Amino acid sequence: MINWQNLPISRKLTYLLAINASIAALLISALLGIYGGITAYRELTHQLQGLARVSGENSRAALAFGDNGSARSTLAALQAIDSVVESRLFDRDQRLFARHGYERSTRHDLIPALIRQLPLPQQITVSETLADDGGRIEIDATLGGIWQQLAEQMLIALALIVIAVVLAVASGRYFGRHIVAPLTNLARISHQISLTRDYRQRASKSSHDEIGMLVDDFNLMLQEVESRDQALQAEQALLEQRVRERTGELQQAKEALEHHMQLLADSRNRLLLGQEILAEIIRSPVFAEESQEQVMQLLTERIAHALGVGRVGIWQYCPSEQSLTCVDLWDGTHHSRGMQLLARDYPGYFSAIMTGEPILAEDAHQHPATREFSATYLTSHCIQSMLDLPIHVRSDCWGVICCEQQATPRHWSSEHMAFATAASTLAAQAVEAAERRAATHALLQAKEEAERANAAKTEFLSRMSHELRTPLNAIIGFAQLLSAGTDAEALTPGQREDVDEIEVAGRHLLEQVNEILDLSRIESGQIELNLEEQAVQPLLEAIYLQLRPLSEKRGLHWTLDLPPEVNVLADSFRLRQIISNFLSNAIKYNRENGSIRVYAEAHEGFWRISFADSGKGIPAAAVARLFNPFERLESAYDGIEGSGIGLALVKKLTMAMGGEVGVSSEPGVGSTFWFTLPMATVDAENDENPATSAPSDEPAWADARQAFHVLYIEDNLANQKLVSRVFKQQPGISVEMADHAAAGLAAIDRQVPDLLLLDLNLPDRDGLSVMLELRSRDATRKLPMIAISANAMQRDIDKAIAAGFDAYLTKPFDLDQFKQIVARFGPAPVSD
Amino acid sequence: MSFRPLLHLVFSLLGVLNATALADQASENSLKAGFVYNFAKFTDWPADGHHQLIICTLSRNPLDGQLSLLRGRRIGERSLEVRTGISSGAWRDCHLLFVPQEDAERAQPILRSASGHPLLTVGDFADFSQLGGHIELRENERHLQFEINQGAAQRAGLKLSSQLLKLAIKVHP
Repeated sequence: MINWQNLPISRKLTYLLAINASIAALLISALLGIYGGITAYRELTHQLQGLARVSGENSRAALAFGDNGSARSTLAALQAIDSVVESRLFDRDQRLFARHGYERSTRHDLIPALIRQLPLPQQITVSETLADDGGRIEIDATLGGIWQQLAEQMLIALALIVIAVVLAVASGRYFGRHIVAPLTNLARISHQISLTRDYRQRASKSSHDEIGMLVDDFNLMLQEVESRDQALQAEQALLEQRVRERTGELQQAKEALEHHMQLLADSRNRLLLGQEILAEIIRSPVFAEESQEQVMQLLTERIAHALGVGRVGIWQYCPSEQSLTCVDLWDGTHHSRGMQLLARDYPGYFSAIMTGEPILAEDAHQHPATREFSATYLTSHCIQSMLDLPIHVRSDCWGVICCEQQATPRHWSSEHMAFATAASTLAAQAVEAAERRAATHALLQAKEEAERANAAKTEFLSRMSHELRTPLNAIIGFAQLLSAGTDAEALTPGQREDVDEIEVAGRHLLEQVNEILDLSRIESGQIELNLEEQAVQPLLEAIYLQLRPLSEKRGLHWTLDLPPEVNVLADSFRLRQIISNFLSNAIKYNRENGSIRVYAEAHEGFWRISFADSGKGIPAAAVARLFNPFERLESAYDGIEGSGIGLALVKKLTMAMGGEVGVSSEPGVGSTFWFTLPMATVDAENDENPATSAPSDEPAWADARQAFHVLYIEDNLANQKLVSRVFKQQPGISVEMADHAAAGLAAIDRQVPDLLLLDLNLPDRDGLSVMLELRSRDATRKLPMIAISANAMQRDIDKAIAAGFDAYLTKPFDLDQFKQIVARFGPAPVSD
Repeated sequence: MSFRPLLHLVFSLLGVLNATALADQASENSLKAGFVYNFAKFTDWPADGHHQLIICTLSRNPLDGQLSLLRGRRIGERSLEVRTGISSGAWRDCHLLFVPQEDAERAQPILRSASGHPLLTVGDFADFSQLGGHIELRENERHLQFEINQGAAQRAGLKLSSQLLKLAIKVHP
């Protein structure tokens, strides 16, 4: 198989021309042949149809009269037409009427014989119907003539193709010689040049046409290329030379760079090591928590490791002694401390330290700051270089870090400096932290001490007042019995006064104790306040009524200038306490026949109640201390009794209820004490008027029924005695005592009393549980039970009442109160 | 009148014609009637505007009635009318006069007076053309043939087809 791509151009041209010519000849011959064949066929059929029509027409009469002979002779006339082979005449019944075959000479011998062998249609039959007789004529004709003609044309076409191919080959040769050969030559030279790179070769020119021009241009180009090639070679040589030079330079630069890189890497490593060690120090629990000594040990070890020096010391500077004392020295194996350097021995070093600048002594023997050590210290320890950094705490020089390089001299790099500076800062921090810890520790200790002392004081006061109340109870109780009891008539007037004096003193003492107790409660945060709306005016009047005897004795003039709508939010008991205090003070510290004015002012949601007296007044210097506990102005108030805690208590109570107290005073004219409390609107129907609930008349059991039995369970003998004496004065009441719970319950088992007085703090069990037990028994479920306790806390009182007690009495008894409460459950008093 | 029986007749006539022997008188008469029809077919009369071609005969029952069977057949645009037993003077309306043997005597005056008129005369006896007739039927060796008096026909203004002339056994000038 021929590969068309690789054929020479001349051959390609020849083939193309030959193929084109052949195709043209073939196409033309085929077209002409087909057209001629079709035309000949059409003509033949047309001719035959005409002949058939003529012959048919001429045979009509013969057919009509059945004259075969005549018909045959008509048909025989077709002999003249070469192509007709046979003709037939049919009558109207399609029966063959006449027939004629024609003898043909074989003039076309060769080709018809050939054609007859081929599977081609050899003849056609034309049929024509006669006009009105119904007869029909058929003519068979051979197609041999047409095939003959076609065959001849094909032969001619073949001849044409042969001629075309011959011409094509000839013209291809021509082109090959005159057009392609120069091109081939050019291509050969070009190929040769590309192989050998010998640009001196030239192509030969054979004509002056486009190819000739091409050859010229090619040669010109070759010349150009040749010159360029030479220039390029020269340039290349130059370039190679320069590349060699540059490579050498680069190599040098690279080596220098590597050197620098190495230096940088070393520096970086030193920095990293320094940072790492600094971080390690900071993270170390020793640094944060341990003592300064341990921190210093940590620092010296780490600094020695980081800087790679043999000895690191931290020295503390003492300004008073002008000395440096070693806090820690690490020589690689041991820690030591306590060595001392004096400024007078090493003035140069000390003055260098005092400048605050680091000392970088690469040659310690020569450096001005360190050469003083040369003979004594450096030589013995074989020290060559030193790096000393002052430690500054709060901008004062605290000491110095000394890094000492042994054996070989040392150049101190900036990284070393940076690290050492950071280390000195860390040392400063450690010192500060240690100082802070010490200060904090001392502060904490002081605080704990103070708290302990305060708690002890409160505890002491509380216990003291509690311990005092019990005997006071007895003192006041028996004094009351003496003055009011049946024995009273036996007393002489002098004795009666003495008894009264005992009672008054006892009550005063009790008041003082209560105040101390309250104060200690407030200070220890134990006070209980039940804040409710309180109408001030009725309270004030009630207190005034109580104090009136004292006031009248001193001839004081009163002005109560208080509108009835003054209501404050306060604990009623404490409010009474506050007002009593101010009023009694106003009475006590007034002059004879002086005046007292009480008035109220509204101010920003508060009522301010003022008590103005006409006493001597208080010096300005004393005013500030007036409300401090135990700060009684002794000099000013000689002869007037008081513990000095009344105002302090008032102040604390008022503040506890959200108010304030104050005083303004003018010596010689008088003082005005005031307090404020939050305003409140009091319910108009709230009829808890202390004035109306004033102590009623003393109850009497004189005619009470017989056999009203009272059981008192109490371990305190004085109280037992007091109560038994109270009831003894009442006829018809029998009292039984039990000194502990078990005995009391046994007594109840024997006889259920009509009234049970129960101390809550019994030696064997809790009074509350005794009550609950009795409440669970059928016999004693409805037994009136009164709790008696020294515990006066409102919360405990409420709790006891809620648990099931019918009443609650606080020790020491107020006998009047005791009698009233007992009377509620006792035999009905008989009115006089 | 139905066309189909007529076709049968013609076919049968032609079939008889093709036969080589005359089987009997009936087939001979039928053949002769067919010849009359074909003569009319191959003859052109001068235009006279008739839409009928009238065949006349003096005899009452010519060719045993076979001639009358041609009545109604068509030649070109014209249909055939057969009149039998016409009077001697009635020939002027006719286009073709068929003269059998028995009418030979009675036909002679008509032949004479009709000479020069476009009346085609067909005779079924010998020497009819001598008497001035145009076409004379002849029986020859059991074949039915005819002679034509071309001169008389031309004088009468009748054009006989050349094919007819070619078929005639003898054409008198």
